[in-house]
Amino acid sequence: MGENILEFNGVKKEYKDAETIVVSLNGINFKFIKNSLNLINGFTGSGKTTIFNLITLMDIPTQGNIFLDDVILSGLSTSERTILRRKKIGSFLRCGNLMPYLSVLENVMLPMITNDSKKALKILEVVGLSDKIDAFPEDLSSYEKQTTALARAMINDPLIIVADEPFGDLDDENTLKLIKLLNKIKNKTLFIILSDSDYLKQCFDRVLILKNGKIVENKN
Amino acid sequence: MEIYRLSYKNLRRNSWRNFSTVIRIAFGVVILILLLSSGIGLKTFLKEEQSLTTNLISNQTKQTSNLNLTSKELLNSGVDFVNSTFGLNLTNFQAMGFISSILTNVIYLVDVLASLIFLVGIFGITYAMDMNLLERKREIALLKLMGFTTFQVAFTHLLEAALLGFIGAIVGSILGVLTIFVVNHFIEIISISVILPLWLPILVIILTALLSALIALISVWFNTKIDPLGVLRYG
Repeated sequence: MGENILEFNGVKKEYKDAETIVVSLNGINFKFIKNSLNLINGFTGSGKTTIFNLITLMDIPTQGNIFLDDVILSGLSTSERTILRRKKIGSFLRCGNLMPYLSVLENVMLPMITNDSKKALKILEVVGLSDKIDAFPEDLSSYEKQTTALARAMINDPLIIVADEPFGDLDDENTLKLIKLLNKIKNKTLFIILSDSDYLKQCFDRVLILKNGKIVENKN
Repeated sequence: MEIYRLSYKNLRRNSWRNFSTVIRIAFGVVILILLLSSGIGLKTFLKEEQSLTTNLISNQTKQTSNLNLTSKELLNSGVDFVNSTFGLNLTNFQAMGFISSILTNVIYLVDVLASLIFLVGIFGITYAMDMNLLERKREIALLKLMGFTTFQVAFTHLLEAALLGFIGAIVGSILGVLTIFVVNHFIEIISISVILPLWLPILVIILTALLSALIALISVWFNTKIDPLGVLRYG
């Protein structure tokens, strides 16, 4: 796969809903390369969250294969997927979803495999939160919550960081600020952002547009 | 940060609910220690009185300790009083047998009561853990999204239940032991080391922590087996 880190090959995902079968992804193909910032854009119901679930190994495809760093994910057991998720995949969601009773530093260190506070402090410095390490989520702005969640996603040096609607709670100014930050740190990992905000397209290295479970546009 | 440190951190949340749980457990532990100590005290008393009666029969002239002498006089006058009041002709040995059987039944009853009150107190943990876990479904889903296994997430919450039980047991044991010391100061029947053996509070503390985790197991198991995707999507 060369520089490719993530590949979706004919991935189909169906959900059984009472008596009907809902097709969420309909045989999609794409590849993402290292150190890039990518956007998967689409309206609600287009299949973005399904892609998030598949990339984070929280779900498995009905058909097709997903490759992560040349490893085929289809044959992995639940425990193998859990280990891989912790080591190689970082993720964050809308509004950060931080633990309210933990400080910023503790939140960032929570998923850490090696208990190294120096590393956490360094990452917090990169995302611009050095002066907030002892603050609690309730004292943070929406932007700071998202950057804390981003720092937490980065803590185990994952191959991929995937974010589902990370700009949902941010105004335009802070959205652009966060994208600027992602562009600054993208040389360390592959970022995949799932969002319905199509005005952001020009800020990304690559944009996939999703509609009704199919990729309708794939451009650099 | 170790995920298991969350157990300790979680104790600070819902402080009023956790405090009331600790108080309930502590109350159960106080009653357990008091009643078990009373039982142990009664058993020891019975053993001493049985040896006293044997002494009376085998060697009437043999001198016993001051404590036994007092008890002997007490027993003699008690039996004399019963015999004269009810027109009976009970010997000291027969009277001791009768008292023994009553006290043995009292000990059993006291043990059952102590266990029941203790269990009622400790079962309060199920409500606290149910409520705690219900409020934390999204956090549990997030922990799974971060790559923690169901076992790790469940163990964190079992540890939290054990910590609640442990704190409750420590508080209860301190209060129970203090009560026994105070009571023993006014009613000096028997040596405190006999009525309150060291193993009793230690055993109660370990047992309470383990039982708390065990009782919380069902609630923890069901709440951590959730589908994280459903929780993250629909809350």
